[in-house]
Amino acid sequence: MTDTPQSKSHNPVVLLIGPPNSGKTSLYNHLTGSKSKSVNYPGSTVQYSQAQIKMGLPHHKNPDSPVINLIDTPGIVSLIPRSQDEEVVLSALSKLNTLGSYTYNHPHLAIVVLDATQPGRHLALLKQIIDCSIPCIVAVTMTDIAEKNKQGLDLSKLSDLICKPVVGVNGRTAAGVKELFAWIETLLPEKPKDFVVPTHFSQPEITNHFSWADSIINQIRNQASHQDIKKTHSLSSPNHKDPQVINGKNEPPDQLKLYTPHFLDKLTLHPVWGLVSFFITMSFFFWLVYWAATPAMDFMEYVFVQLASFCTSLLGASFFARLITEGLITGGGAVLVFVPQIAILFLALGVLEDSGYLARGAMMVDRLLSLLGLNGKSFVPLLSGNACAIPAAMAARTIPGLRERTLTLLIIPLMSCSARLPVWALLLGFLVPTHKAWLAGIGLACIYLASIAFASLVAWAGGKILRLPQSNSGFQLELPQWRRPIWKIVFTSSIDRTWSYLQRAGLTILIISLVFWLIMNLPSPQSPIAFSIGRALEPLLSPMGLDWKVGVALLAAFAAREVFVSVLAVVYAVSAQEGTTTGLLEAMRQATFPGGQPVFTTATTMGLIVFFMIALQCTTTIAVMRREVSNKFALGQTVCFIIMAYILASLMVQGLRIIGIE
Amino acid sequence: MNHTLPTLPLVQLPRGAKAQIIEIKGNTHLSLRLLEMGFIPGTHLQLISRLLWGGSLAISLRGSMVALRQTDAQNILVSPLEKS
Repeated sequence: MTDTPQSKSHNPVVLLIGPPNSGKTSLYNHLTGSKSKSVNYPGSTVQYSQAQIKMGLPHHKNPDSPVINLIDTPGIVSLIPRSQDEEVVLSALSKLNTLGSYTYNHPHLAIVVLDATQPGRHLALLKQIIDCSIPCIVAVTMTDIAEKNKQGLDLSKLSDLICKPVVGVNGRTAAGVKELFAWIETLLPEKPKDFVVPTHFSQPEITNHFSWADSIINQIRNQASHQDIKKTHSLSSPNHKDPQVINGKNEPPDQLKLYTPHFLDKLTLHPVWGLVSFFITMSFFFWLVYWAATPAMDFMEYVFVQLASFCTSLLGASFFARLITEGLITGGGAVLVFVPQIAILFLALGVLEDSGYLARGAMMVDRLLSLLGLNGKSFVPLLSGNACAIPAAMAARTIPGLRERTLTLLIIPLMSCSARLPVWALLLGFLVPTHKAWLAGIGLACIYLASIAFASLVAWAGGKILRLPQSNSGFQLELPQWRRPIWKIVFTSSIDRTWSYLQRAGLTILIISLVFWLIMNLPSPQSPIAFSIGRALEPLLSPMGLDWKVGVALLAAFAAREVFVSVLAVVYAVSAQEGTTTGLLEAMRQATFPGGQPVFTTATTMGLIVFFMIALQCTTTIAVMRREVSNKFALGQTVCFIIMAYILASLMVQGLRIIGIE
Repeated sequence: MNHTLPTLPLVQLPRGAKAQIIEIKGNTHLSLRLLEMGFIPGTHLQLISRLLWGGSLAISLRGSMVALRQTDAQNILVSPLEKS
């Protein structure tokens, strides 16, 4: 959310800064803990996370302890930014007031987060930061893994050598966080110091940063080695298979040290098995979203049926009671039953994110995506576009090339987002006979594949039509170490994301359900206002083979896609007691034109699927596109996708009719 | 010992081979980014994987792994290390 007026006060600003995958965000979560309200959620306007923290230890909290603003920034390889998310870090360092209502341009203090398992590269970045004389504390993460691999760094030696406080922190157990707090409180200056961040580093300068890093590592290791040898001798070490590695003297210098691939790397990066495992992972991902959610969805449906009958028994059949049961519960319930499915989608994405697979996936598809004018780095935005286009558009900021980024943003709205899931479930439920429910799963897979195929076509065509400069940024991506997901974080973040989805969509859905119930029942249920609105739409709807009632629901879907299902349930006056989904399917089977021919046929349902696949009906997405690219782009994208959706849906209906499928 | 071996672009390295970085060609944004990622002359690396159909390379260096597009790796000149 936006900054509250209080945060405009002169609270000191502390910045978390470091390379990608260095554990900044876990540290941020530990530092903020339950003491603060984090303001980062998908779809928010912030480009970084920010929290206010009261300093001092929880058990003897001093009311005079300062409150700081802690900012978590995107990972950077160097202080010279190459993509928009890296630019945010630079702004946070020297143009803070452009990011929010902060008093000063510079932060008071930076916490530089480094990974102990890859000291060379991370110390080279630290060197850049120290050279700018940015006041900083160094937090070293993954020290436990480094020690397990017998590559531990002596942190007090490091501190002596670089003349900065160094704190070892553990992302899993939060060890070291207290010490870090103490350092922050000690070092926090009254006013931030002025410093200048260079705009360019030459080849020799970068080489020097690394020579500095390598020499620091060598000094630490050479001094440490004698102690290590002593320790080794005192240990009875039956499980130390390789004594050479323990001996610090034989530890290769960082520049010569290779990474020993994990067995998962041998599989997921293999030229053939990598692709096979990629395909299996993706299929499993979508299978999980569809099938694992079914029991939870049945339960939600049951809850709403009970709620509706309870309300009816309590309120009777007055106008007001019908407003509640038919408008609110039927309309809201039609969409809320999908909450478990959406939560599972976010959860599955979180597991892929946290394990380190997504970077491997990006590597797998880079070649294919580059043929379409995209980049391997488009993979994560596009995959998360299958959950929601809004965080996906934010994720696209990590793509360095303007051309690749714009084309990715162009096709993100074509990914089958979670708002479409209720629509797919309803329409597939109609197409597939109840005793062959497994066919719906195949149908859903086809919809996902068709969305991807269509999006690829649009990206390719967009690259030809839009005049975008050729990109030469290539594709370089660090492949993080595999790790067991931290379940607590994965679960909390998927609950947060689902909750923010509900906040965003929930109210709209309820209000629209109510509004449509009213216009379906006023002035009287026989000749409602909705009838005249629907009538006006009818000429437009005839190519798609639909009647005015579906037209009304389609119109409502421009507020939020899933509202289509709610409004349809309201329009057909489905009673919530019989279960919204089954009741609605029954009502759809019985719906006819005045002449007696059915409204919902195979052809018209297929037409609706095509329409929903392509049309850009989400106002928040349009707003985000305006901000991320331009007004012109957002307008063009919206108009084009709606017109294409309409034309292709009509062609689908008419084409199917020509070949004899009604 | 290594110097007797020829220099070649990283893309031509066989899968699994280890090599030493000799030079990063050019002074473009790309070559600077490669340096910033740790592709400093003198550094050792190993080609872990090369994907089919001209796909990306997975390279191990400085204790971690990096994926690179083949065209990006064209600018990295390496000298293969003999197996010891």
